[in-house]
Amino acid sequence: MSSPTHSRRDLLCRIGSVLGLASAANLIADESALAASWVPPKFPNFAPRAKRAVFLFMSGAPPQMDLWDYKPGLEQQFDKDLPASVRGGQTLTGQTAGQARFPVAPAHWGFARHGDSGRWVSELLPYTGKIVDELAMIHSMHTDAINHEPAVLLMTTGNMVPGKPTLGAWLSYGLGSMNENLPCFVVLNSRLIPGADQQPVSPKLWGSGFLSNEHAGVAFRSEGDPVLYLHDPPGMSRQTRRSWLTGVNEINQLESQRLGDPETQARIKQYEMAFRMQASVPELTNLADEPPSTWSLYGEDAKLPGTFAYNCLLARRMAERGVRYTQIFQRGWDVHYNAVGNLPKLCAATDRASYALITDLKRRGLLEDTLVIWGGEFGRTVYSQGGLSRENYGRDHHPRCFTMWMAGGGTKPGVAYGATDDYSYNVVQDPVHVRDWSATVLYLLGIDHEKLSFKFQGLDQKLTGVVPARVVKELLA
Amino acid sequence: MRRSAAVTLVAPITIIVVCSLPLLLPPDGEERSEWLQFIGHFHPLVVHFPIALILLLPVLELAARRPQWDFLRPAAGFVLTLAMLAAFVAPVLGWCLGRSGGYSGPLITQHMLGGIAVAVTICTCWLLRGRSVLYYALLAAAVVLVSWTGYRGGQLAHGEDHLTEHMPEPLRTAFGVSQAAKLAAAPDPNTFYGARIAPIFATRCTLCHGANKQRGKLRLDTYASITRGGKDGPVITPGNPAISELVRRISLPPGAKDFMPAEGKPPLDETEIKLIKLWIAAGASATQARDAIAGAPAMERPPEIFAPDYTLQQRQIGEIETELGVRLVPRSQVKTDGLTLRCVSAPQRCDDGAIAKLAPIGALIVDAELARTAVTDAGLGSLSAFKNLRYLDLSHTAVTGAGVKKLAALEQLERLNLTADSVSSADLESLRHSKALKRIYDFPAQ
Repeated sequence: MSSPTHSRRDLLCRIGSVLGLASAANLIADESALAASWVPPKFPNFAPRAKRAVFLFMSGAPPQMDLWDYKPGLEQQFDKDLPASVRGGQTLTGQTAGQARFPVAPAHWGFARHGDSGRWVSELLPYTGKIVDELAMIHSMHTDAINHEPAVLLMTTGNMVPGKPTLGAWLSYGLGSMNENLPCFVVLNSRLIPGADQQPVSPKLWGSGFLSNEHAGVAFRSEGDPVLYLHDPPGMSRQTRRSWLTGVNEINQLESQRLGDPETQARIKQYEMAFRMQASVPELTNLADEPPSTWSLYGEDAKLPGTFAYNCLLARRMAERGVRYTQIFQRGWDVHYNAVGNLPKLCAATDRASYALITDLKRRGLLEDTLVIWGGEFGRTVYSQGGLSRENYGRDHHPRCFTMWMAGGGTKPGVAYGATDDYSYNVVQDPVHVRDWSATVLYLLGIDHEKLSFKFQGLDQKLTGVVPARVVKELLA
Repeated sequence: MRRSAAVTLVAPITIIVVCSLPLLLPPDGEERSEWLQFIGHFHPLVVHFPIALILLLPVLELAARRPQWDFLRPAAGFVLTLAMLAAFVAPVLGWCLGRSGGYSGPLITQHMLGGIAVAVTICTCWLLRGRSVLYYALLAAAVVLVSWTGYRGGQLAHGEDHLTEHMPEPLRTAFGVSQAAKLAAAPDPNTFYGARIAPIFATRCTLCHGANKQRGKLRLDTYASITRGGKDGPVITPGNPAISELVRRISLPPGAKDFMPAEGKPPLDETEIKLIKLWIAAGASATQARDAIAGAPAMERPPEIFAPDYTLQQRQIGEIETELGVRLVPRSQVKTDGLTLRCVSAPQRCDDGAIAKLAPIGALIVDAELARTAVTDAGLGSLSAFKNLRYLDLSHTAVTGAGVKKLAALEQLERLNLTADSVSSADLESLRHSKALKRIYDFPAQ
């Protein structure tokens, strides 16, 4: 037996929209009708400094004191116990809570001053060192979660509980697409780094939560065609594909009228986007038109699809082509063990490419309105997990402080904000919670984080949640 | 029309009562019994009845002149009686509020006399209706009087410029509503008090503590009155915000008994409270220079006007967008932030002809994203219509040095992107004198 079914929520929404027929009419109007009645949108709330953003997400959490947060005093503390007063009774993860000692592990690598700002940067990051004057460094990031899954969700969705829309989905919902032939939000998963401790990344990190499905990020594959079935099978012409799709859309429209599920409309839009992507993605990923200067900047790695360098280059090409938000995941930063063995590999894979992306955007005039973000989901402990020697150590999860940087898109170049104590353990000055950072990112994109909301489960849901968030104006140019 | 003598007596009594109360016991800025205040607060509610009924009367009287609506004539009489009763009740309640609510000054006096005049006029109307043509003249007078009195009352409740605040400039000129007087009375904007403190009091406090109403005998509309304080003495202690009564009250949790602003009016925000504290700590001076106090949050700059209001050309924008297949996107919901011309979905559709067709709305375009379009040197001449253009992206186009020369006409141009174009550094010489131009990107990318 089959009968038209409505979910309770859809039914309630539907009753609501009968009361507000005008808004319902707006939602179903096709693009041409919308164009004819030109209406100013609700966002941005004010002129944006950044039109688009790229997030270089260092999944697994890089150790701040090995890369950015220079603590020269730790050298004398080698293998001494972390003072209990510094830890302050903090609950640790199951991985180190049972340790008899918490021996301080100073950074294995040297630091040097770089740029006019004289910023200290680890010798692991020689390339990024060259562009510190472009970066707005935040040393006082802190988060609520001590484990990867909730912490990554907090960074991407503003909430530790799964099911909320991600930053990219909010941007798609609020600002919309710039290029109708490409997704508004693209996710690039980089190749794994052999030997490094990988944490999984899953589609909920680019999901649309309770927003319509069309706002979800589109993940490109790291090997083979970036999008599956990008090319039509032999014998199928573009015209055939078009008429096939038109037929499918008609059936879906009937289905939509019969069942009234908004997901059907979202599906129609996704089919149309896929059709347009068949034309736009091959052009996007065809690197044959890149000048030789590209390869001398990014390195030969960038020719290999799926590498972090390749993804950074793709991010630049997407910035040129109007993709609103690109999120590149590089996994492997979870250095519980063998930090000395793995950090050089992780830095080698990401350092030059991050530098190349900033430099490339800058020389092409794109950095002024492209926000680039670098960071992970939390920090790492100053004490060693497992055995500590001069040759090696590991570091456990640490939510109380970590370092992120932002560049371009209206951030203040060369600034360093916030500070941690001598152990890089607690924030002692100008703390920046994840929600403050989110509010700041939205601000740079012209959005008042209090205004970008969606009614769901009885709340005006926001990326920054219900706790008041602060735009960190000190980071703005 | 016949009336009993008893009923006819009502009118003169009304006149006497309504006149005598306020004249004998006028509003004097004191706050009095809670009962009087409680009853008085029904005045703003009840006052709408006499206004509406009096405005309805001429409509009924005029309509009743037509034969098919002559049944309205008795209705007009009925409405007139109601209007008279309402015109009696409303001023009495008004007097309760004015006498007990801490009001004084010319505005409340005018409003009060207006109310009395309305009551007297409408009573006289009631007496004269059907007996004299004078009735119509008086009715017209009542309509004028009730409008004027209502406007004065609105000024008391919502601020003196509640109707004219958002009046468009052409109307302002036509009506002679100038802001000059208001500006002249304002304190010196070069002082910290004038620039930072007085505006806070003016927007948050003076509706109840101002020229027309002085709750607690406190006025916060002039420097002298601020330092004088209210009925319980000074409200600020120069040099010591911690013991200043005003600071204590605005810092309480909203809803607390002594919290200010009272009656659910919006609380002061953090910055406003901080500014007041800093000002008092620095001695609460009227003459200290605007930027003399360290640690004061920076002043918000007035919003920059990038282009004319785009909503005025909404229809035209929509038509051009549809015709050309480009997108004209507001840079933000701020109407004077201008538009972004966006061609990235189908850049090759945007050519020299399209640029020329954008001329009617050219002044609205602040940001032109023309990367990868078919625009050539020939088309750049039409860009002169984009007189508010600040950001121009011509990267990956066929534009050459000859076209770049034409851009010198764009006086607002700040940023120019010529990435991957055939332009030499010699070609850029022609832009040397462009005053606003801050950055040119000419990375060859070949």
